Amino acid sequence: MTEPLIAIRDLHYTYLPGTPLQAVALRGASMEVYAGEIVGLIGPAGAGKSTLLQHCNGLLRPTEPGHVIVDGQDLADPTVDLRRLRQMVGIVFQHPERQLFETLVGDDIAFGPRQLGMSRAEIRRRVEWAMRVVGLDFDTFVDRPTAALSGGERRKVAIAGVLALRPRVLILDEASAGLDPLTREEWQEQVRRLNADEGMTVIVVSSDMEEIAALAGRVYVMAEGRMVDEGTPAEVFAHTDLLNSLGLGQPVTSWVLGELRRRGYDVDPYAIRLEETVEELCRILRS
Amino acid sequence: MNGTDKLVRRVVTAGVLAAIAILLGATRLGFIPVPTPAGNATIMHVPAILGGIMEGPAVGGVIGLVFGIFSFFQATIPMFKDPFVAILPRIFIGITAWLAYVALRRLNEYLALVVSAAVGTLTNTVLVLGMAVWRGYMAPGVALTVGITHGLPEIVVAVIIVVAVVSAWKGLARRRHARL
Amino acid sequence: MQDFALLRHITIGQYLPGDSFVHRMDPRAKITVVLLLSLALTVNTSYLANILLLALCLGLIRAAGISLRYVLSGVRPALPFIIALSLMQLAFYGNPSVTSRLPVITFLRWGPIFITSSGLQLVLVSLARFVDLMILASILTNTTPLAHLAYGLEDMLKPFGRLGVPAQEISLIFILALRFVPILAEQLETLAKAQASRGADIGAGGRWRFWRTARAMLVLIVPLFLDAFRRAEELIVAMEARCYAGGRGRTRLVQLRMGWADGIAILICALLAVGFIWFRKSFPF
Ligand SMILES: Nc1ncnc2c1ncn2[C@@H]1O[C@H](COP(=O)(O)OP(=O)(O)OP(=O)(O)O)[C@@H](O)[C@H]1O
Ligand SMILES: [Mg+2]
Repeated sequence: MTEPLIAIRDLHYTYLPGTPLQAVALRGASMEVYAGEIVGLIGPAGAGKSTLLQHCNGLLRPTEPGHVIVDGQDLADPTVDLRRLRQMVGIVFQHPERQLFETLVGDDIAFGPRQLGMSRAEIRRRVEWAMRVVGLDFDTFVDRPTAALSGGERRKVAIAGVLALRPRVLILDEASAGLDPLTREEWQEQVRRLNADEGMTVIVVSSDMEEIAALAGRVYVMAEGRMVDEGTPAEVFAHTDLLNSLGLGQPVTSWVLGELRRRGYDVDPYAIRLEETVEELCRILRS
Repeated sequence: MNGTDKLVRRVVTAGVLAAIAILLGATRLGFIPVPTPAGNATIMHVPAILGGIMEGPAVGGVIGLVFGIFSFFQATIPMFKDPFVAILPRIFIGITAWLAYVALRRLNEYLALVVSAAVGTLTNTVLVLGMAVWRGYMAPGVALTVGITHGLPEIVVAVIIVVAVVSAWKGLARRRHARL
Repeated sequence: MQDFALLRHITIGQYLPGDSFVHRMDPRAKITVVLLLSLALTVNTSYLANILLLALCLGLIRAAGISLRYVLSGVRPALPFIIALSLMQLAFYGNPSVTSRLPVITFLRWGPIFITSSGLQLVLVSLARFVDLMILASILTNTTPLAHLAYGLEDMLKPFGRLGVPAQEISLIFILALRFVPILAEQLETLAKAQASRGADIGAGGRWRFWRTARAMLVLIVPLFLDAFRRAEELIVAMEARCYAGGRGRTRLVQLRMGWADGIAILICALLAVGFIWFRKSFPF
């Protein structure tokens, strides 16, 4: 098997150690992400998901036992080139639309590439590409004032700003929170395309289990600073008791299949994709 | 808009801007290193200037008051542990900034913002140092030197921030096209 | 900017819970006492008055059960600066308007440097006053929850309402500001992380090209202000929907109560303050 692109081994992290505000966030978390995957990460509030992922681009550095290895490089090493690392691993935070600061859309998206000192032509190419990927027409939007955009458009601009760095790994930390259902579908389609067409490795954190089921090829479940479950979405979402005990939901399909099995129907609990579930339902209706 | 709406708007705007003033003071963010003996130019007074520009002298004044009280409580040097130096002068920052802004707004919005940021900052520097001299913490000559070496960078920094924030909020674009 | 968590955890007036007499005092009484004593401090420049006032403040902080070391802990990093300023004050301020009955002795006069005994007195008195005010400030912020201070302030401003001072609005502004600080601090932390992820280098530019530093900081400052304005708009809409019409008729959770002990404390301090102010020119040294 190939080396993982990101490997986190037994990572511990405490915020503000030695102060009255000390908060233990990670207690031996481990995770592996392979190039080209979409990995989902779920867990209750305060489980340590954001803390874990912020280690991947050096926003937080390992201070206690544990290793974070990105592309073969151990981030505990103080000489790590943060600039290169942050270009390789991009993070989109919750409510990214709040981070815009330039007056014009094009300038805000160009911020990252400009920081990297790229040529004008290259910057323009990247901005065009990033805007196309998030579904903003270049000519229509590039010279618009950011203040004149709708909330949804502002979010697209912010995400384009991260994509313009052309990261190999894209981390979406609750980046889709608060989107309306229609935009959500469009968003999931874009993430899938980034993964399939551009080969971008994606890590998604979401409290929307439908989204995790729709996107992720593999899911980690986190609680109290460590991993408590891992597997394909079908496997993870079949563990109803664990999810319930953590206060996490299930995708509707998973819930329906679980309910049917509990009532004695012989359905496949792993058939959580909508088409598969429908197939199962038709099968038991026929029999 | 009736009177009540205006009152609500003023109270809330003053509240959030005062919060930013406190936040800037409590983190290192409010201090920009400059090459003068004092070491740092402060931008903690910028919310008072913005309050004056956006909602008038009362709002600007109250934000200055909160900033002053906060800097009084936070002070770790004798001069600023004196309410006459730390609190009183701060009330006038937003008021003079507002005066400058309304006087020039009709001429040119940018000019008004630039001058108003400069005037608000000068008010802070001059009144604080003036009070320091009057209260016996500084000799006039020393105060003048500090005023010049310190005031100038502070004006530059305040102008940059005020213009950027107001144009971003109001969507004033200095350029028609992105630099691409 | 390496430690992002520090952006979020800022302390304003750390309340230290306790059960001393000072803790139990009504916030309005505390504010009054502190104001009276500050006033006395401000106008007294004699050694004797300042020794007495210093003793009084030390007694107060003792009664509050807070160590002087804690009160002055913030001063340590500023110490070189304080010494430098005091030396300058001593060197260049030969003839200050110190009201003192002592004769003025000139220690040194050389070029612009002019050192006298009254200059020395000014420096020493400023330092004593500084310690007094550190203590008084600590009595307010360390022994009283901030919200109680704001409510106390509101009550004390109320009588000025007739003179057109919008007392309740001002205290509401204080309360809003205190509420928004942690919210905006958290937003600031996220912003710093988001912009760093895009390659922002906050703090770049250096001391000499400070305008560059300022421009580099716009990536944080601008969205921070915009976020604050946006939150303000949301709150304005919510308040208008609930028909907020100024402070009148609002009720609140915390009800303040003055006891007889508060009254006595105010009385004693008022007498002391009046005495110190009245006799400020009569202290022998
Ligand atoms: N900047 C910080 N300073 C101090 N403690 C923090 C900080 N950020 C997070 N924590 C604490 O660390 C723990 C883990 O937080 P984290 O944000 O990583 O969880 P999360 O799984 O992302 O939660 P959520 O779903 O709410 O985003 C929590 O107990 C939290 O209170
Ligand atoms: Mg999180």
